[in-house]
Amino acid sequence: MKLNLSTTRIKALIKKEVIQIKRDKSALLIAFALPVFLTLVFGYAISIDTNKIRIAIVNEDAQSSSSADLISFFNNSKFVEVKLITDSHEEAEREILGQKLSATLIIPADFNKRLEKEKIAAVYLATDGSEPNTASFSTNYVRAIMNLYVEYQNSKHGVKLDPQIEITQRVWYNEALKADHLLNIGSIGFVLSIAGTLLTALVVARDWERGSMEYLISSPVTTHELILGKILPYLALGLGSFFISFACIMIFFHTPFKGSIIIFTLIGFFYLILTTGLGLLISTSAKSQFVASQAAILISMVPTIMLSGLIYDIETMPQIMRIITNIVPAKYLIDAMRTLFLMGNDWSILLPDILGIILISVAIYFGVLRKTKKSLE
Amino acid sequence: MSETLVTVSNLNKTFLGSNSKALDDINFEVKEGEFFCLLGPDAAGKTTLLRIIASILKYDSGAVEILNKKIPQEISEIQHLIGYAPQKFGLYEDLTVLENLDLNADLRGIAGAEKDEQITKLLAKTNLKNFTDRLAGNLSGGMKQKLALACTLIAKPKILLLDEVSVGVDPISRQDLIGIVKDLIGHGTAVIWSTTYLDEAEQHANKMLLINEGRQVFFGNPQDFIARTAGRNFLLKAKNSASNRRENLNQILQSEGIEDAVLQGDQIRILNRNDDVTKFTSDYEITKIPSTIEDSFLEVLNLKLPTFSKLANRYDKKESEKKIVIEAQGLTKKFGEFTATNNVNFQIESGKIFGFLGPNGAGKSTTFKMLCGLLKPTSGIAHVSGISLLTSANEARQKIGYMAQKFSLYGELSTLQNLQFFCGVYSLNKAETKMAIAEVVESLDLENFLNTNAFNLPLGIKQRLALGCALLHKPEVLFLDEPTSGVDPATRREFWFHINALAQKGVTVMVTTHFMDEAEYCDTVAIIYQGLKIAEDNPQKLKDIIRSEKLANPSFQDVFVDLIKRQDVEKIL
Repeated sequence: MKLNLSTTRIKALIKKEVIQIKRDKSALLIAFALPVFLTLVFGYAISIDTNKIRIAIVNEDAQSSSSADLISFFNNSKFVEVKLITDSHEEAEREILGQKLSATLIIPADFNKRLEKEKIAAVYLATDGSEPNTASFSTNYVRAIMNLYVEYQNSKHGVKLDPQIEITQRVWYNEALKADHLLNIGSIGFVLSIAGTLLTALVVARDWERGSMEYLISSPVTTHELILGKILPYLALGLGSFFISFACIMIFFHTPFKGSIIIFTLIGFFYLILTTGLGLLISTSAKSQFVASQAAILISMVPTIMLSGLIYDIETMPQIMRIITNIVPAKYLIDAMRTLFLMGNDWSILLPDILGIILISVAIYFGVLRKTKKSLE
Repeated sequence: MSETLVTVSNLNKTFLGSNSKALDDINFEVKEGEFFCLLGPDAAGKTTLLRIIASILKYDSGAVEILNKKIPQEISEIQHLIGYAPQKFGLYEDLTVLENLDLNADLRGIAGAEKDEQITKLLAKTNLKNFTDRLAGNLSGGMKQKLALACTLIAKPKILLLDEVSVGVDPISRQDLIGIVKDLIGHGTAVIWSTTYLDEAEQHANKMLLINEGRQVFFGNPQDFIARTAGRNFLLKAKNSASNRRENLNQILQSEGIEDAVLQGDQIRILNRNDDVTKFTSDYEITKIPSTIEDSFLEVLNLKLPTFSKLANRYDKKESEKKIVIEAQGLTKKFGEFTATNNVNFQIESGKIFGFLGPNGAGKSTTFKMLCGLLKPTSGIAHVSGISLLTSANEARQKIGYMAQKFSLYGELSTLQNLQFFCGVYSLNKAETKMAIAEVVESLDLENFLNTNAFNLPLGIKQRLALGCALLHKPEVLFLDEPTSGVDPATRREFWFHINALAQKGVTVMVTTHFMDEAEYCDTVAIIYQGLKIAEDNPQKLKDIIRSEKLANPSFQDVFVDLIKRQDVEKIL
């Protein structure tokens, strides 16, 4: 295929787009103010203190006084409300669903024995993994109360308990829950979907609506020039959004970042190429701003929220949904972002993610080239 | 001999999913230096044809050649020689005049000194020199079209394809546009000019192509076309000067052998099937007049004129008592430093048609909006039926019908749903709604379109529907803002037939238009310019103002242009 690109024409198209972006402040607002807003929403959604955590305690070691001691610590806590104390797992199971309890604390039968012999107090905590925010609250609160208990045992009874009281956390539905930073890291994926897809879809559809596109395609501008003239400015704008969300996450939430900034930027860039392409594909098919915006939300943002692992864990989905998530681009991005933030440059995870993004991009651009014809039909 | 630039032979085109041909065996050629007019009623296929020549639309069979290159296969070799301005021209409204020109120069590979020279020249030609920094979206309609034309001209095209660029543009800007284009023709460019203004073809075209429902009706010289109805045009002046001109018109329309009849000031202009008009001699003084392209257009398309307006028949017999229905007193509207409407006064009696004319940007729409209560006057009073629309809007709005520019229908709703919606807006009850819709549908022949989305309706039907929507609640007052913009002569005839009939039933009509012949249908015409009312009288008397030995029988266009030029001179003095 002969590309036959004219830099003059591409430059002219980009210049036009830049002027339009500067005049119509809404694009700038979407690109720069929205990321800040979204990162804050996603970040604080996880950190906002909720009411008391409601828990059940299954006491398998009901005869010992030390377990009763421990329970009294929970009863006295400002942060935890003990709704049920029982020795039956079945009852706890029922209640956790019926009363919507957030966690079950299990005091094992050998609690007292191990405390005395091994100087270790082992409890189990079961949290509801489908609610990662609450699960992590519960874990932190229980850990804090257990620390108080150890301190009390140390000072009051002179019993030198080893501080490593083990909380064996068993997450029921979401065993891969890693940290409470997951959500605000994932917000980058959401931001890039909006900045890329929605913005591009809207501006191209606007050109169709106002008739500018009919005029452009009757001029010597080629299809490739048209595509580049639209993609490049919004790619740049998207990169702006990308760094702004990154900065917000680092500044407001002190999220650790273990990977390489260069790889991070590169993946973000690949992903933006994908989302702007998707925006272009949507608007060349829709041709009206209203339809284009609806389609962009439906095709890009909804899967990003629901099916990318941003909020709901993919592992816990039914198999059919798990398969579908493979074509949700945000899945790869969010996975890669979380890896880079929390684990570092783990290529065994990053490579498949990058490959996924590239493959979907190729498919999208194939569609864009087929759809963008210099014809009205 | 001049070179042939465009050859179209046996061209056929059917749109996907349509069972009728959009273009059916079209054959013509366009030569160097021709002003080639493309004419036809709405949905005839004019835009389709232009798009095919501009090679942004494929065709099924036949051949199109431009400068001996096959279209669309070899388009890239000659694309820079074609200038195409689509109907909804794609100016970037958020770019300034200069930025738009700049962009187009870059896209068409015009650079350096040539670019500067072209831009300077075009700015001068279009009188846009002083507006280079204004956003295209803030230009008046006429200026927008001039800028659009300038953008298409920047690469000095050999062939210019202009799709209804003069629609919605005032007569003065139209003259400017045509002037620019004719200047190019002198330099060898060929122009294909599609239009619904037939007078443009009559005055300027060397060649014309008339198509109807995709079929070629006439290709040749406009003079030959006009000659088809020669000798059968007459001007009738009622001997009884007290007789009602609208009633006379109705009578004439219903008599045998009449192909067309319209009001022209206090006279009636007719096209007869033959040259025998003796049956009118008892009541009228008859003058034979030359035929026009419009006469032949109406005859050749064999369009049936309505003879009875069921739409007006929905109204009861009018009250004989005359009263002032619409009144503007010292009406003024300022936007910051800019005075859009400056101390405008007029009164409109019931049952009268009041024409409100002026160039684009003169303040017509602003005045209209104040009368309808959509804008608050800076000072002065706007009353409808003695009520201010600003203070008791709901009460007064129930009495008015408003048909906006571009028709303000809901494109995604069907014809029926639009009608139902507007019934709801005017709070008709269930029984009233049922009856109003049935009556409007019947009287405007909308049955076949009830389930079509308004967006997909042909322009003429859209206009009918918009009129229907405005009349559902039988308003006493009708505001029409450029109701016939872009609509072909036949549809306009039908439209005015209804308006005339409504006026006879006592409905008061205020109308803006850029079709100067429509001013002739009005009882009173006011001309507004730069916010000021510069003239107000009946069309006949306005013509008398400018009548001279040289111009014994001025058209209303002459009146308009002359009065505005006089105002400009006065201003300079």
